[in-house]
Amino acid sequence: MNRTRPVALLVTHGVLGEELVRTVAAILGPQSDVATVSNSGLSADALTTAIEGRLAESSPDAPVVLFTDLAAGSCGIASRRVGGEGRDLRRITGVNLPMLLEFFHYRDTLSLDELLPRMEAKGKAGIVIL
Amino acid sequence: MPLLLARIDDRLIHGQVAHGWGSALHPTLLAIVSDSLRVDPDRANLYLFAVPEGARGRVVSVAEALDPAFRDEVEAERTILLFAAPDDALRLLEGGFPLRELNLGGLHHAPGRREVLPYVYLDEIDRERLRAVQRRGVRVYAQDLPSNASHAIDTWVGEAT
Repeated sequence: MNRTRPVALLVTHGVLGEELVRTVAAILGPQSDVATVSNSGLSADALTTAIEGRLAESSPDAPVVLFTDLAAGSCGIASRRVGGEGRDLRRITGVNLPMLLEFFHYRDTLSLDELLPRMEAKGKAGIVIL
Repeated sequence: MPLLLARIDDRLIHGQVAHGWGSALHPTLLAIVSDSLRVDPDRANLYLFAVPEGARGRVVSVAEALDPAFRDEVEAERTILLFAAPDDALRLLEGGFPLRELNLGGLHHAPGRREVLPYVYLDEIDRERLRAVQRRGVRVYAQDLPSNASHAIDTWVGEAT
């Protein structure tokens, strides 16, 4: 498929995002085009600036999926304040491992319009009372 | 369809197998060859729960795996065979099951085992069994994920002959 690979940007509390990326690498192998931002020690404004800084590091042609952990937390709120600046920017919250695995499996083969609903479904389906 | 992968992995069906190898190989059958799991359906179901979409899982004993009907099933599907330890794989070979390659994907730390890779720890019994597997003409290689490096095991287990 002739299009730019979507970038994953995980914006989370503490080291959650880094560890999720490390765990994805342990399961699928190392991944490129992925970045993380932690809220540790950052004010709301500083966190928004940090996300914008990370976005600026990736090619302006590249679509970005912004993953956050809590919708009603600093990360979720800051991610909604960030503008796409013309780029294709998608946001999804409640990040978990099943959602991420789905993203990394299919980001080169499915459009984000197809992939985002699948990621939401996989993330939810991964929560099961055993 | 020839066998896609035969793998020794003490975690059996887990993330690396279901997702890592699964997304590369698209298996339709994940078969665990294990005498101990075959008689312990509760524990077997824990592993079968992790079978990915599009595939089915089953647990067979070594004797069942040697039945020609099982070999037909393996060849009719896109199959990954899993063993929890070198012993099961060796006994399958000794029974005449044809394997050309055997992937060493996970043998984790246990008392008496020494690390050779972060996901491979071996003791002398493991080494002897892996040598015996190689003596049967099977290429044994260590590799946790399809996108990571593959390692020949000769330097860890000694010469096969």
